[in-house]
Amino acid sequence: MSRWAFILVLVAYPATAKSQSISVSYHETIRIPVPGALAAFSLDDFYAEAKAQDETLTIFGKNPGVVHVVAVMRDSTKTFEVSVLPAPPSYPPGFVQPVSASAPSENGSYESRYTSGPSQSDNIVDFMSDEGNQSVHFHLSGLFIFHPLEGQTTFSLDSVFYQILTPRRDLTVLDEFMDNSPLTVDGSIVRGFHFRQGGFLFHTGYASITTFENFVLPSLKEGVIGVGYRFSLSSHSSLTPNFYFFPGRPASENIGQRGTVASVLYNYEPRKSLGLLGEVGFSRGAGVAARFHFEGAHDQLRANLRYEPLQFASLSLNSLHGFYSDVDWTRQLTSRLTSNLSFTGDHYRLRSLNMTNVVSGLNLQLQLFRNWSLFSGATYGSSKSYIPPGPPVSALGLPLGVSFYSRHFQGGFVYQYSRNYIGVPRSDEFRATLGTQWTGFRLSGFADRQTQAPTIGFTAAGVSGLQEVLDNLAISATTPEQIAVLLRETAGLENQGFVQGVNISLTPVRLQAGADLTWFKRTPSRQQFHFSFLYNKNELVQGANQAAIGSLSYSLKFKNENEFFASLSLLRSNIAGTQGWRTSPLIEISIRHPALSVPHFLVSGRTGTIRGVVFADDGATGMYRPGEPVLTDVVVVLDDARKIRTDHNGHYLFTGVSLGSHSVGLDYQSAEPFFFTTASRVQTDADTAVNFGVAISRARLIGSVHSDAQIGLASVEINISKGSQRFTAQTDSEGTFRVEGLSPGEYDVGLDTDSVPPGYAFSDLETQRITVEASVSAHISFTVRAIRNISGRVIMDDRVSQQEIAVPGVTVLLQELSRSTVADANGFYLIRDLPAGTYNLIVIYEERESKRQVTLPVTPAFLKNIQIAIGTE
Amino acid sequence: MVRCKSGQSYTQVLTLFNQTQQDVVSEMAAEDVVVRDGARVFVPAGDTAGSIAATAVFSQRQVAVKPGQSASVGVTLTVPPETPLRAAVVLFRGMNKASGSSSVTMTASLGALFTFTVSENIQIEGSPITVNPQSTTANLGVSQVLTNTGSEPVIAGGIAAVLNETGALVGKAVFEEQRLLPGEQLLFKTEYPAELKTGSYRVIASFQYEDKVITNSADFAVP
Repeated sequence: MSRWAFILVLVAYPATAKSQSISVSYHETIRIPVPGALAAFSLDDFYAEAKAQDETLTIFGKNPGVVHVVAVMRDSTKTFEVSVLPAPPSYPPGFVQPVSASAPSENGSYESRYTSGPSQSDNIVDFMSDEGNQSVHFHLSGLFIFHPLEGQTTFSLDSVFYQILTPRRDLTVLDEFMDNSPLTVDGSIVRGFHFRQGGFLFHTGYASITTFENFVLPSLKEGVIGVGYRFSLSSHSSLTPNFYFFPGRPASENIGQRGTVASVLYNYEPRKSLGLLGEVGFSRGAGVAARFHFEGAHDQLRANLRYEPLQFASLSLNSLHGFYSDVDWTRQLTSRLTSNLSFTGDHYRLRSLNMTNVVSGLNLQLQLFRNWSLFSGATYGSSKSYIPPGPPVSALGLPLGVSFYSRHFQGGFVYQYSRNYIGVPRSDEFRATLGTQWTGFRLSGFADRQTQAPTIGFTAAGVSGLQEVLDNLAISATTPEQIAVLLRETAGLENQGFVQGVNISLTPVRLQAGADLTWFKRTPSRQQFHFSFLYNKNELVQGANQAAIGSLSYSLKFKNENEFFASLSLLRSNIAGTQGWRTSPLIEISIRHPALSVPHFLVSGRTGTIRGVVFADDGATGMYRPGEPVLTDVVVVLDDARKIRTDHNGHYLFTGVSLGSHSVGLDYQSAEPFFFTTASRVQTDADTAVNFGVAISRARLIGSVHSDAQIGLASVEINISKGSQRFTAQTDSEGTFRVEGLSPGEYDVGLDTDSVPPGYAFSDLETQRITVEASVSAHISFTVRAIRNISGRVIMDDRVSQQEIAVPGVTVLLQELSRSTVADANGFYLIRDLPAGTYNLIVIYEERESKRQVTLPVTPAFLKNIQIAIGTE
Repeated sequence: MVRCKSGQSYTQVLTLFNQTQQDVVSEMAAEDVVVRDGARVFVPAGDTAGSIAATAVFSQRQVAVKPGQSASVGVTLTVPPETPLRAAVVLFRGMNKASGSSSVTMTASLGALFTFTVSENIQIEGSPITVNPQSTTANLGVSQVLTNTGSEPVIAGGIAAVLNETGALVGKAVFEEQRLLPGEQLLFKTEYPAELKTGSYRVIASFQYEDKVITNSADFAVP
């Protein structure tokens, strides 16, 4: 037995060093010059591997985390704290990287809609873009009228605008819905130029009614010019002086009121649930307007007041000369009792209507049980028409009803007794409702009978189809409140002369019945059927006026997000004194296509670039690193349309690229066989860089690193060199590696021993030389020996001491390999460098044979304390 | 290890799985872990100033677990201000005797060690490296005693790197991680299983703990 002498020479440089911090990306290698570095190792190979060569420290990031790397110099060490950064996120096929919060949000749609009666086609384009605090909106609605009326054109832009909104400045070109103030312009679309800079406001253009309830009207334009300046009094209040001029229409048309308005608007809104607005204006006479709203825990209160003298300058569209007021107050009196108090007092001073309307009501709703409620109250309404002249109508109503509501059913019954004051003393109304709803299904219906019922009727001014539209609306207005609302909505028509007369009267008997059925699917297709029906019969002295309106519609959303809608409506009417029923069909069909981005010409300055480098990727890494050879004069194609060639630096640049997704591809031509080391065609957004790698098809080297038990070793780094050319590779989980793009020649291939896992012997590993030929795969393999030892002790039982004692100097034989060793003076033995397998350890002592079986795994193993007992002394 | 501030508490739920064939009845107990002469000693709660174990609050003091079942107990420990202690052990202290086929009976207790880090005073000192020579019957052994000279518990582990006389890395062996309580001394040892050829070598032992590294080296020769 040979004996090793051992000399401990010194203990050097104990150190608790302050580490230098460096970062390395996941699966990336960095190289740092460390003068004098002879070797390096990582304190945890799971996170990073390290080696030192030619005074350069090389660190490979294996897994995200922090680890220390020690570089060893001749007389010192240097420690690095290495942070391995997480890998960039990867997405499965079909998923794309989410848009960052700062990226612009864009959407839009195109819709084409056809309606009959009158036959027309409306085509609507909408694009919206929100980027930071800037919002851009483009809208265009073009209307084709197939049978234009006199004074109408076949095509008209019924609405079009381009709008840019920022915190400091707003700009709208063409149409803007102006809600400037009650006494200037209040709820009218003005086509022209609209600008706000800070508190300064400027509007100019003209207004006209073009449509009413989707019905196209001849355009009567009225001009408007106005300025204002909003002074902030506090964070919650402001004062805005306005000055507006309305040129008006020719005096012969008697439309609108030409003149100027000067007003002061005060606005106070400390919170969303409380607001007060007041305005005083001067034109030909003084006008006043006020609005108030409040929402509390138990109250909801809304009030409006407005007065304009008859000669007050205004647009005809929203001019309500006269006095108008309304209050609506809902209060939760107790947990079961709710009250609603409403009042409307209007005095119309319109072109063909001079009328006073007062409607007030108090409604009380008491929840009796969980699902039952009792309803009662009182209403009072009066109306007096001066133009056209009519008798005063006034009535006091006392309703009483009960209602039921549950998750799937609801219903109710209301009786109202009314006393009229126009010689017909009594009115009775019975109304019953019933409804049910289930998943994807809703059905409701009602029936109503009223004697001496208030009724409104309009006389349209010769515009074909408008009378039907107004009749439709009139049928639905059955209460004094609804009549008052309808009067206000049609005031613009009245002012512009499209309505020549309004008649409010009492109908001896009115019968109404209606139903509403909806079926829908809660699937991505959002299919929905809807059917509604309304029947109305007014029994008059001269006969009965009957009308029935039925409407069936269907909507669907396709997988490509397109939306389809179709409806068929039929209005059948039979007027007393006319010849039978008249039927008016109405068909509507529309298709809407959503858009996810905005054309760049609509959003100024919203273009970007796509740039990159085309590089010769001889290492086939797929990653461009500055300094790598580049390819010049290579054609790069954008969206299969724009072409550009790389410059002498291999760079290309597309400018003026619109937002949204684009395809960028390489049109590379070469006499030599080549392959792309990156995708040759990429879908990308503007303001991105896309590099293309091209490698000449050269030889490849395929190799493997496995243990002596033929187990592949993962993450072993391979060094390949030929002259000054150096390549590296790393084995995969199977222990194989591949190097592409080698030029023909002889290469030295070796393993980076630091990357070999612990437990393997690599001191006897040698660099192999291999010849690689063009377009031919060369194969190489390395076998790394796993270190497997067996050690233990040979013992026997001592009869005297009754203890185990060592047996020195006996031979321990490994039977299967015919290898042996001799136990030392203490009975210890060690057999090194064994292959995997099951072995019998045999000891022969005084002609007695003792045997012990051990198994060495395929991985490195050091079996210790394998005792061989040889019996009793 | 729990990183916290003095005066803060820490709550953990401990679960006992009974994989024996008989009922296990345990009472919950906590003891402080102190280091005396470099070694750990368990001290009953309250016997040491600033006792952490004395602050232990259990969701239940006693648990009975049937065979194949489990029981969980919540424990809240508070690190008293200014306490020098950094560790405590929470025990399921067996109350019933485990019986077997032999005449010997015993009680079984299971415990969990809690260590607390309350400051940045983390420091380790290493003794000189001891190198046990390789022989025909023994591998090269490298060992080093580390002493926690700071005031906080640390977990240390590292690498022993063997370099030849040219400075090239010959091989590495791993020091398994161990936890060191303040004042505690532990021997870290590893073996390099491959056979070294004749020559001069240097072994470098580097341990990392928290964000620090301690490195020592020793030269030796294999004639």
